[in-house]
Amino acid sequence: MKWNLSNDRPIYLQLSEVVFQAIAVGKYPAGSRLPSVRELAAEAGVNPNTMQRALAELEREGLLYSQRTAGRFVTDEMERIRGKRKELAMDQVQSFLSTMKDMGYTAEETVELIRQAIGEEEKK
Amino acid sequence: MLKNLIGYEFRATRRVFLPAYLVLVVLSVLNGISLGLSWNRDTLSLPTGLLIAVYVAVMMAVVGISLAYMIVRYYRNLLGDEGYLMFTLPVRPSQLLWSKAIVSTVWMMITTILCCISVFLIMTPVMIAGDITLVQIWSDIQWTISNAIAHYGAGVCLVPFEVIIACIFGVLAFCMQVYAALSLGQLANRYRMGWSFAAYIGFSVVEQIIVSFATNILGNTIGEITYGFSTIVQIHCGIGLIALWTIVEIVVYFLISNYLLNNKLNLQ
Amino acid sequence: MTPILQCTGLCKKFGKKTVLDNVSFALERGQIVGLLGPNGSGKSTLIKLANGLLTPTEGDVTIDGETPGIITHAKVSYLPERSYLSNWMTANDLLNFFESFYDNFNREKAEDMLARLQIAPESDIKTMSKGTKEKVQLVMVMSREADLYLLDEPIGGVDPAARDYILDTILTNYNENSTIVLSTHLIADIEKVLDDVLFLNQGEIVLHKSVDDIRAEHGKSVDALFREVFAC
Repeated sequence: MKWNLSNDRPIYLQLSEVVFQAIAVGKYPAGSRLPSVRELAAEAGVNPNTMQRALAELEREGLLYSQRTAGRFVTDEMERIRGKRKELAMDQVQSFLSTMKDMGYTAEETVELIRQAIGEEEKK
Repeated sequence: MLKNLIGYEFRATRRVFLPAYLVLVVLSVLNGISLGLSWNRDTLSLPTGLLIAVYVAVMMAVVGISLAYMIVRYYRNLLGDEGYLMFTLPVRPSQLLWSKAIVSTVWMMITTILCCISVFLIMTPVMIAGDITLVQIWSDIQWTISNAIAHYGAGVCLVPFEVIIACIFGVLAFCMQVYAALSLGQLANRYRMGWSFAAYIGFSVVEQIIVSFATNILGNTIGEITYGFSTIVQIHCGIGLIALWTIVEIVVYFLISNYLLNNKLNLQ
Repeated sequence: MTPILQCTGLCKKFGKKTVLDNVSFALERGQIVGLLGPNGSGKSTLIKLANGLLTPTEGDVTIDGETPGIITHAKVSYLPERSYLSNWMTANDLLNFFESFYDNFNREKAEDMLARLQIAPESDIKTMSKGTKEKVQLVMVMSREADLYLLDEPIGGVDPAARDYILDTILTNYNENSTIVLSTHLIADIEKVLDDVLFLNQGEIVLHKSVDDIRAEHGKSVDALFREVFAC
């Protein structure tokens, strides 16, 4: 996991995003146990309370659940993970589209550009 | 905790005192031998003279170290950077004070005893060269003691012990006076050593005034009370009064330092 | 619950110079708090008052409800901004010293941390570099299981590698029941380890907020806000 934290947004939000990405790519599969707050905080080099808050955020969204003694687990509901993943992807796409729009590209032109880019990527 | 503090205080100071004592003892023995060898000569050879000079210098240095260390340990370990550790230990300032005072007093007593032993070490070879035996000296001492007892009564045997105890109190009182002066000096934001020195002078002046008043007022009364007493009882009373005065000094100076360290600590 | 550290109308003057002016705040347990301010803003003075090394001119400071003294000394672990180590000691002497005076000193933890720094127990403090002394001091302070840690400029004047080591040591030794207050003027490096920040300017508290609240409200880092507030 890469803990690249930017300076302008609350740290806990950024941490919850990084943890979710790890869930989305299957580093922490559905139903698996998450490392402790302490371990995660040490890995990220952040205050355990902030990490706690980040995980609480994910818990609130139903992506994590905690069992009193056993610790914190990733949800079993793949639907939720997929949904959240899509939500985040959508955010990215929308911000990309609005940037393209600002540069004067139509939707079709944008799609065409994406195809080209993917083609070039595959040739490499 | 006081025991711990005293233990660490000894460990912090012994690395200075023990080597100094060793040098003093070695020099005493060397001087004794060299003086013993030059017993029959009219003039001292140059090496013997030099050795005496070095010995005197070292003796003075050892006494100087005892005094200087009393000040340095208090000033550096409590009122300097190390004080940040000492004053955040879960111990009372009074315990810090006593640990410093007790250890300083013990070193000064050892220094005094060692100086006596050192003189004895020098004299031994000289006595051997001069054919004076220990048996002779011992009989001289016995003669003196029995003479004194015959003159003043058996109570005279207590006098040396009383003097020693009064000396210990005196050294302790001196320590406490210096500590009180240093504790007062640390209140200043600048020139602390200067202020401490001034405080010490101030204390001494006040003491002088009190003592001279006391002798003026109480002198006659005490004289009248002890008028009919025998000489030896008068001596006991005299030593007792001096000891009492030093105890008052110890208590007063302790209270001053203790108040300042508890309520007015100023480690900047 | 009684705040672990509380200041009420705290003032400190040196002669005519006012160093702290009517400072009031309370800190709860379980936080890492940054005491931030430029040099000369009164950070060290505040920490020394909490340790009883100075006495307030007015107002008071309490630790877990007690004024600084023998009871609070047992609960507070203090790292001063300079070295307080005695030169005659070895690392082992220092371990013994801490063990004999502090009931909450975890010797094994300290030994372990010293070993990782490759400091042998028999090494003399006298021969250690300034940086090593600072690390040894931090190890001793963080090896106490205290209620309140008062760290005065723990990362001032050390190289970035040492800074990471120090922050890592602080984070890994922190527990939920204790509070850490660390003073610094280098904010960017420590922002992500803090819960709350206290901005101290010319002896007055000008801000007491959580890092994430500042970021959410101002849309900028605490460091950036600090530069704005204290712009010269």
